Amino acid sequence: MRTPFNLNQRATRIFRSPAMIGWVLFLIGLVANAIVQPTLFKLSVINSNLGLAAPLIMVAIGQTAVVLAGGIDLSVGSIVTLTNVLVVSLYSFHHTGFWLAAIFGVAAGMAVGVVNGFIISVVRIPALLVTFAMMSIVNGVALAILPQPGGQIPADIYQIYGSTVGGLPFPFLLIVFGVLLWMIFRYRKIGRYLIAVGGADWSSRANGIPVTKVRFQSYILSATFASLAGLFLTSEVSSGDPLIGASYALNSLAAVVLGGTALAGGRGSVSGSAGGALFLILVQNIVYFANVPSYYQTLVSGLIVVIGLATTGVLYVRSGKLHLTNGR
Amino acid sequence: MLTIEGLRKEYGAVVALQGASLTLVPGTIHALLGANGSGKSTLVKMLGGVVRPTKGTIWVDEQRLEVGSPAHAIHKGIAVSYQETSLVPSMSVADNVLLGIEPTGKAGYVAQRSLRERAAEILDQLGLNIPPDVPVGELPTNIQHLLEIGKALVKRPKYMVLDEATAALRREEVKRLFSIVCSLRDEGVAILFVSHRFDEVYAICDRATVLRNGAVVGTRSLSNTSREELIQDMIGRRISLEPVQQKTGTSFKKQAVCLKARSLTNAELRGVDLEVSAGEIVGIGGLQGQGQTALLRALIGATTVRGDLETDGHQGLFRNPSHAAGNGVRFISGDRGREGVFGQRSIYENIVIGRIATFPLWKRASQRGENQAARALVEQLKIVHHSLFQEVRGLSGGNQQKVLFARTLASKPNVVILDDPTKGVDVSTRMEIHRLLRNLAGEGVGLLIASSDDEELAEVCDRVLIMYEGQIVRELTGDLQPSHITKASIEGAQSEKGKGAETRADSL
Repeated sequence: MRTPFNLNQRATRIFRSPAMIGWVLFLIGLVANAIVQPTLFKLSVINSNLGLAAPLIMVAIGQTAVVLAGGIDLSVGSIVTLTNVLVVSLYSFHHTGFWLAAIFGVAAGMAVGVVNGFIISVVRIPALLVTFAMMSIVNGVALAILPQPGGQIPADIYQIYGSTVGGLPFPFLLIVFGVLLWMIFRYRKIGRYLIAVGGADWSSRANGIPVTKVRFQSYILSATFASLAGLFLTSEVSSGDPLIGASYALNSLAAVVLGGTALAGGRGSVSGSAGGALFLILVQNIVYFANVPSYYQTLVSGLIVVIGLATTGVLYVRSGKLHLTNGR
Repeated sequence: MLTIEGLRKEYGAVVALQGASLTLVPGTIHALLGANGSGKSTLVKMLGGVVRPTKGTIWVDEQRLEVGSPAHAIHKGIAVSYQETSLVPSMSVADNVLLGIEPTGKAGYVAQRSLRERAAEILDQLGLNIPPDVPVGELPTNIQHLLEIGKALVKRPKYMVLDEATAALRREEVKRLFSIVCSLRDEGVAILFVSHRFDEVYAICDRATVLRNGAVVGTRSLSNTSREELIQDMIGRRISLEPVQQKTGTSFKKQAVCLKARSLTNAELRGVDLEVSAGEIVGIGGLQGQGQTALLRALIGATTVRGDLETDGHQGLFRNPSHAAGNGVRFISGDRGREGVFGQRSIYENIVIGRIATFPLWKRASQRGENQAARALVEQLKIVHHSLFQEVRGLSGGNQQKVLFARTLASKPNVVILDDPTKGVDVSTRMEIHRLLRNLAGEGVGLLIASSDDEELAEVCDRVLIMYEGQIVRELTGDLQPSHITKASIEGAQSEKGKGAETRADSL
């Protein structure tokens, strides 16, 4: 029978895949950054850039899981903060060991995810509202735990974070760890079902997929990654700050969208989100090293991000994912 | 053996199925027939576990099926190919075919290779030569429907349900499907075949159960049942067995044409021509999902379509519904909640929006006079309310529908296009709405009404066009009887595609 496909199809598929956009943006950013900052490829610079990127990539991976399943998680930033203040204050003021504090911090973050998931999937309240409210609540809890920046973590943890292991920057290994952790889920049933539920929830139900459970678990996943991000960030800054995670909610969403994941769910990839997150980090660098006056830095970096997002949007329409009406 | 016992489903006050019973015997193909809204799809969805019955049980091999659980239905060996398909457009062919039953390895990972192998097997069986990693959403509809069938096949079911599985398929694909289905039957699978094509039903089925208005009329052995008997079971009334007469219009005097469409074509429409004159009510009938809704949406520019359109003072297709409204062509959707009323806004606002929607965006929407006009319309249409400023969602369905009419009237349209105007409306309001439609036509407005309710079409229309697979296959004029419309709809489905085009050429 006649088939509308040809041999180039696999190649076109790769180039048209949404994740491509994230990585192309990342490469463009890398070139631009290298031009304005010739020292970019020195090990210490790579190390510090990846150190900044690792927490954002972690948060973005979790956010991707939720967005793929058709949801949104605005509470990830507050989870980052919660883990940070818990770990630091437990270690500094309550003298638990660092690892015990870390376990507590991550568990508390995951608990937030359980509450989110329950309210959204079982009680069925829109994710935007639930996670927005949860963001306020958790930020409030973080402030109660640690009203002012302070505290510390063991010096060796902080030093490992800035060092290399076997010639590779330690933060790079953490990113690899995050991606591997994601792959554990991606290639099991849950990974497929996230996409199925976000792509067509009636169909998912008809095929016997436990839709409620999948939604529930997507929020636990995102909280887990966010609290691991909080742990990484704590190792990087080596102190506690009740406002530390504020930027992560929207930055992670920006990374997800830049990486070509559809906010409506059902389409996208973690690899794209990682590219998007790296691009966001590079944009900060570019603006700084291009000698943009400090007053205008946020303005310029914002503009670059908007252009990136618009590119993603245009490519999406081009690839026929959006249907316009008669189009005249 | 699968036995359905007294299945009943109520949606609020509407009874979709009132105690249906039937038995599927292994090694047989059982047809399920019925006109629009007879409850076929509801029954199918209950078998698949997607819809939970209000009452009744399903027994599978002497065990009670846990209702409302698709996973349990699949576990019990029931596989359903849904009419609207249960595919995930963004996922690949292979992933879709095995969705929900992915083979997994020891560590819980999905076994990619065996998944692809099993998918390839099914694609082979269906004669599909497509790469297994294409997203399903990019494939043509006939292939999507074949994949939907493939999803049922791959489960190696004991009970397979095919809901209008052949509707989107080409002839050679239907042939292949039938050879697969027949070999399954010989292996002892019980198949429930839902279709409106008698040729196909007679070709492969052993027995047929007919549903009418949500109730089982009877189960007959097909070897000693004629088509006419089946049609009568479906329609419920003895009617003449000669083909419906297609008289030329005498009841309606032609006036100026106010809507004229030529060869509208898109994914769902295959060259539709149609004309509506001022003061005329034209109905669009046919079995469900034959492109009626697509036609209405194409006319108002809500979907992409090729072809030509001409209305009073406008030449060419409309860009979007707002463009249509600006040219006096108004649409009242059949989906009242989502595309009709603004539930949380007042009656007043819901009416006024009809007039001001086509104003320039920055034009001041003056309140003066609007109040009176809206009040007059509310009185005229007898909308039951306590205040003009109460929320519309508090009104009954019928009154909400009337608010939509008031909105349309306020805009002084030339043409009104309606989709199922009395869906979920009580009998007296329904009569009022019918009277309204007549009055509207009396004032010289051209009306185009799609309805799945043949009595409604017979009652209000001057002329009824029957659609089948995106084409107008019949035109009925003169003394319209509901049973004639139903019969023409069912017969329309029996005519070959080429023959359908002929009939159309004759009658238009």
